[in-house]
Amino acid sequence: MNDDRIQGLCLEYALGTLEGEDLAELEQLLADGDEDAQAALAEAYETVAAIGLSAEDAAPSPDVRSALLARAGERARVVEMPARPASRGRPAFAWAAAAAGLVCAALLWQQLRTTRDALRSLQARFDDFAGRQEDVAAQNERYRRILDILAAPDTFSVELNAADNARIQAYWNDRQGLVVAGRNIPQPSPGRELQLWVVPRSGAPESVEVFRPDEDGNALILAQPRTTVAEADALAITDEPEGGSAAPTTTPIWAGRP
Amino acid sequence: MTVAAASLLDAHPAAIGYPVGLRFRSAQEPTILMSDSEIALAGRLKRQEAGALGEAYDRYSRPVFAMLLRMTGERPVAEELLQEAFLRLWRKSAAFEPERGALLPWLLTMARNLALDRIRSSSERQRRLEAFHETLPEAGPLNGGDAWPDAKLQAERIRSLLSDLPEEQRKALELAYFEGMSHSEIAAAMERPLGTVKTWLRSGLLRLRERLGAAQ
Repeated sequence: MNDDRIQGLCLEYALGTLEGEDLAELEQLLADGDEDAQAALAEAYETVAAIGLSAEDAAPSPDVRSALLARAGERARVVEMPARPASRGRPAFAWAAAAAGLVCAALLWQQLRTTRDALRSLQARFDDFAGRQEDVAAQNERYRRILDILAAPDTFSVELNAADNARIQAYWNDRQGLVVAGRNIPQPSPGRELQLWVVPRSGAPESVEVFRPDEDGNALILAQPRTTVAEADALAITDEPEGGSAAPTTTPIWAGRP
Repeated sequence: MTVAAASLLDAHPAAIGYPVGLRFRSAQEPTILMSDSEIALAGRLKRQEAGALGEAYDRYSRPVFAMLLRMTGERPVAEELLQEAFLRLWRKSAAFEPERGALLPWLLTMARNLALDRIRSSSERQRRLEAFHETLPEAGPLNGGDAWPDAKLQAERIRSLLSDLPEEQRKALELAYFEGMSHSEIAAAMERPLGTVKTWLRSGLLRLRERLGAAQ
């Protein structure tokens, strides 16, 4: 394939418009590790990203920055109180003045300690609050990703079938991830856990998640398998020793083909 | 975007970049160049240093937001996606390889993917497509401040390069980039044959690439 053709394919690939045989041809080159194609693709992303800079100038509201930093958990640190500089006494000071000075210094020192303790307490509370806020943000992010996967037009739906009452449904989008939602899942025996696998058409199964359903038998998994939908033969769940296995050791309890 | 493209971005988030310092990599230039300050910032992000995310935001948020606003047409949505893009930058920065590319194109690509996911899953798309011809901004001078002078100069250059393309090629590129349209969708929107649209896109991209290389 000549350079111009590779560059043309890569440019359309980066733009997201490459389709059909052209797409398959380029993806095969990339999968084969073709260095010319990889270099051309890197350059193509430069070219395509540049189009984004042509948008009319606009500035986000100032609130976005502070909200972002709060979500990222980046915050101003409380500055440690500096050590008190050594005092320089004057030889001519009277004892009374020295005593008064000591009392003042002691009071000041006590005040500094109290202030520092208060700051540390506030810092600890702030850290705790920020940690909880991060937890909530992470949970929101997780649900948002799940919704994105469910709503994406190129998401595949896979039902994992079995003879029992469990209902397990998977939604798989190569770009955005894999959601597996289950109901009425029986609890594994003590010392055992369930393990979700992507079984490729060739090669070893990929472990995606080791999990237990909650006490009501529900499970919700969000993962990003390395295997793509096109490469996958099936999704499967097996019963494995606690912590999971490197490869399935039991027959799948539930399985489904994309 | 295709599966493999997304995988590539995840694996090599910095491999797609051009520098913010007014230089585009030419076809013959093997190494993507970055300014010293950008390399330093990338290193600080990688080490998750306090203040690094804020600095990256101050430096790049404006061009990324402008693109998101153009794509989504709504400030609240664009601001939400802007936050998301920078959060991903922050959370994935450990895998960042400054020697392989710059931050801005990665941010633009990631933010575009987020926006495409949003508009493709939204009924808003039809409304925005119908309004496309009315909302398409003409090339013209920027009206912003100097918060991001390098990117602003780049934007002027890109607009100039795009405006030099034949009108239909430019429109086809904009529909594909900002609206995430496929060949057939562009053909329908522009009421032109599919083969013509494919030729426009390919020719427009190759011309843009050539002119970006020549603009150094």
